[in-house]
Amino acid sequence: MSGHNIESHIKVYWNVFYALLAFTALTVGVTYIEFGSEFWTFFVGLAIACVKGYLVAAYFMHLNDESKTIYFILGISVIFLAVMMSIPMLWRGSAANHKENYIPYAIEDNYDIGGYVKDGKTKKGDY
Amino acid sequence: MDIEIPYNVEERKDTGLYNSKLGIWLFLASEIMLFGALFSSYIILRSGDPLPFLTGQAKLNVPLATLNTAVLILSSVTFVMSWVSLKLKDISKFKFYMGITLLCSVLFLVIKYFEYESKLSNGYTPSYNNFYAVYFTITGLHAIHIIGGIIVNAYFWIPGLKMWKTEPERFTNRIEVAGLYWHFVDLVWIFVFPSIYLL
Repeated sequence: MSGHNIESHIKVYWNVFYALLAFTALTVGVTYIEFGSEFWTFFVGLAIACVKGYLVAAYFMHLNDESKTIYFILGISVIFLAVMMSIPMLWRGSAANHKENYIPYAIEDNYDIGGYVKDGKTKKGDY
Repeated sequence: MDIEIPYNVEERKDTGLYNSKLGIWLFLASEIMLFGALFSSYIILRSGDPLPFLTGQAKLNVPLATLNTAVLILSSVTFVMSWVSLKLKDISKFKFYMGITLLCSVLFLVIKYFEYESKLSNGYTPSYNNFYAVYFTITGLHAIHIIGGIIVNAYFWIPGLKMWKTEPERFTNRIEVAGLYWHFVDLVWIFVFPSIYLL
């Protein structure tokens, strides 16, 4: 950071701070909106989080102007993270395609609030 | 005999970085995988049995968590301002901004304490169901990171500051590296907040 443009950097940091506060309010605000499907609720919520994450990484962590070594390290992490996050989704997708073999953990009125099966049985039989 | 550690200040030609910056980014890459594994488990557990997550989430204190988000964001901007103060060679401003950062970090933990206390006193322990297991594991690990940050930042605020008199550039780099860790902790919370409390 060169001396003459530090003032403009300071202004950017505080603007990012105000933007992050505004996006936090927006994150909470959109939870009151009915999007009609679970997919869009998650999509909008996580999209706002990604924008906030970008602001922190790009400006506070200076990733908008960094060495290639760091981009390389982060690139590898992101690839492995994507693999790790896609495994549960692929597994769950596969389970949904074979519903005859898929028994939910607990069903309807046997549920107590904690999510346990009260009598150890479900309507589909013991498991 | 004093052994001088190389590349504390000047950049290595091959990496284009001073060594501790390379070190902290490698560490942060491992942290991405650590928190990534927990989020991955969260997806599996929630998609397998969503009801305890929906009922559990309804009991969480969203206003308190929103306040904590704002507190952490404030601590991030004050941290970056403390680094800027060192660049401007203004040590009193550094102390001021780092002090605010530490205050925010402690406030975050105090709010977290009240949040945990209300859950635990009502019997919602990590073993209550999958939701509380995920909630306490992810937010607990995050809180441990906050505690680690407080220890390091408090060191640089008072005892570690003596390096400023002998090696100011090296001290400035130390603050930059500690800042990268702190912003990462903020970044993790930015994803924890909507995924655990809101969605």
